[in-house]
Amino acid sequence: MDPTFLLRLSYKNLSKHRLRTLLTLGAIAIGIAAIVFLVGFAYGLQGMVTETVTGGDAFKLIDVGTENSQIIKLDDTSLNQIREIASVQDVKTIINAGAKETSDGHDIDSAFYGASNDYIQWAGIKVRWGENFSEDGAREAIVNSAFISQLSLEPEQALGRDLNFDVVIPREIARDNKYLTKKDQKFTIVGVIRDKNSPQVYIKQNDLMELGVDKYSQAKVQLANQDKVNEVRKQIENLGFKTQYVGDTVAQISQLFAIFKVVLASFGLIALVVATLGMFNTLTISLLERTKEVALLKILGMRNKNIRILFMAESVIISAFGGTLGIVLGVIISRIANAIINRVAINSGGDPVSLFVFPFWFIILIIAFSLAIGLGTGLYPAKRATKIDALSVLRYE
Amino acid sequence: MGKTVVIKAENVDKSFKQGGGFVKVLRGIDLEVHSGDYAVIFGPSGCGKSTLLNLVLGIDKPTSGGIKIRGSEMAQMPEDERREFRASKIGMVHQMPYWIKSLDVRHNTALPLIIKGEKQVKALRKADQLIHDLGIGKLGKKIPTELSGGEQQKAGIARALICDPWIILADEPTGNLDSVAGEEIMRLFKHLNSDQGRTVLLVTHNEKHWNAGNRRIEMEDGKIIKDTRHKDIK
Repeated sequence: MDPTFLLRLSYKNLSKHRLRTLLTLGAIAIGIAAIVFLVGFAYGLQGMVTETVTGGDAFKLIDVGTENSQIIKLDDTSLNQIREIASVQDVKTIINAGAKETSDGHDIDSAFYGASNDYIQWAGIKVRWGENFSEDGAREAIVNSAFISQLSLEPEQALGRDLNFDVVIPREIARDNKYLTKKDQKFTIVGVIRDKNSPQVYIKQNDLMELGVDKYSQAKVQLANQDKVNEVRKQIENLGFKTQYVGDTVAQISQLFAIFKVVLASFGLIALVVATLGMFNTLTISLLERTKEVALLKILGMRNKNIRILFMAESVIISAFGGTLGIVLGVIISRIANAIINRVAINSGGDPVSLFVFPFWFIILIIAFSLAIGLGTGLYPAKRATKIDALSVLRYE
Repeated sequence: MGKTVVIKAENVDKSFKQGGGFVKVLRGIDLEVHSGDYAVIFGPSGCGKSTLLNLVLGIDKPTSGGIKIRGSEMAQMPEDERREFRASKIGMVHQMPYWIKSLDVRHNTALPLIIKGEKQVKALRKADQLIHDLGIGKLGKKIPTELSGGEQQKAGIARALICDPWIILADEPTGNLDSVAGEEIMRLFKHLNSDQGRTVLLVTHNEKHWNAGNRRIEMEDGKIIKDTRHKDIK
């Protein structure tokens, strides 16, 4: 039998009860839209968190430190040993010190780092206002917004401003292994980072080393090939250093967000289950209304297989259209929500974000899921239709 | 030369469960219907006319005995095969035609042929021709339930004819019609038999139609009590 005729018949049956069909389809669409919206939000959030953690070329970078060891030192000799490891492309370092800003009677405690532009870039830190360190300029500082808020300045106002620091150098990194304080160190702000957590100041590494530092607090090791991460980590750890890799954190984040996605999808699923029950009810009522028609089709020679296809097709048509509409609806609502959130964020000085992400395979999965719902829900009415006894229907009539 | 036996019923009994026991509706029915016959079965209500028709149609099975349609016993066929056999070899006209309410007259008429596997275009072309021949050509695009009783019955006859069946069964085809429409339908059956040579088995309890065919079969209490061929049998 021509399958297009079965489809036509299914479509005609559905369009005969247009309002009922549209309501059922709408309910499925709302359920699917809820799942798309919530899971899209989880993906968006995961993307944002992962990007914050990884930034830049993070998957090719290994963080190396000494964990305040008194024996193992991260100095030029050990850095050269690390550079000699195969697959290591480059090594950049950072020095952690402390400082107190004292200009104009201020008394601002801050973390005080000596780092290069490359290190700052590798760490995914972005200068939002002003510039990175210049090639030849001396005594330049990049500060974060938490620091300038202590100065009661706007970022634009802070650029070019001179600062006066009392720099505290811990003995672990000091040239003479002695605790040092260097007073009245003058630096000029050239850039501001958006970060409101705690006051931080970056200066060029050479400027800090000139104050009596000859060891590094941490290093970032860049690999030529991401596949060699485990191998290189092992070799670095064999030198006595501790290593950290962003991939470990990302794996933990993924694990956490996998649970988060399931939880959010479950909320959407509740709406979908209600909609599916509604659809089941609609199909069953439709079958009961058409008992005579099914009996007629049997008398006219229709095989059970085709009767089953007829009812399954109705169910799949509802779920396919409902699913597609749900995806479109979910994406549109999330776009609107994202636009509203971004407007609020921009108005309060933040950056626009992509709070909703819909991976292609997720959309495909949702379409497949919608079809599966259609097939599953249509199964019982379709089976029941094949059991209708034509004779009983005729006799009853 | 003898005519082909289209229906052959041999010692057919049919009982139905009722309460704690069984009610025998048909008792030892022996019947042969030949090609070109226009047999009218009549008798009081409950005498087993419609039950006999349902057995011939193959939507019910005899309790004992057998019914063969040109040598094939539908009761022995698997369900799907039985349905296909019925759809292509037997045309059925009910008292109150059943319809697929979402389809128009021409699609309803073409339905048995489409179910049989014919291409839609071809089936619809044949349906158009049939409904035109039966005088309802202009109503093809209407939903059947919008038609009058007589028009619906004509569409039902067109549907019964679409597969060129060996036999047409009609169960009280005028039962729901006024006398004028009823007469028109009976003339149509006569035309199908005498002008097209179609075999018709018609059940009625309307006395006016007992002599409509070329053979009258009287039933009572589940038995055929009289089987008469008219003098004007062709």
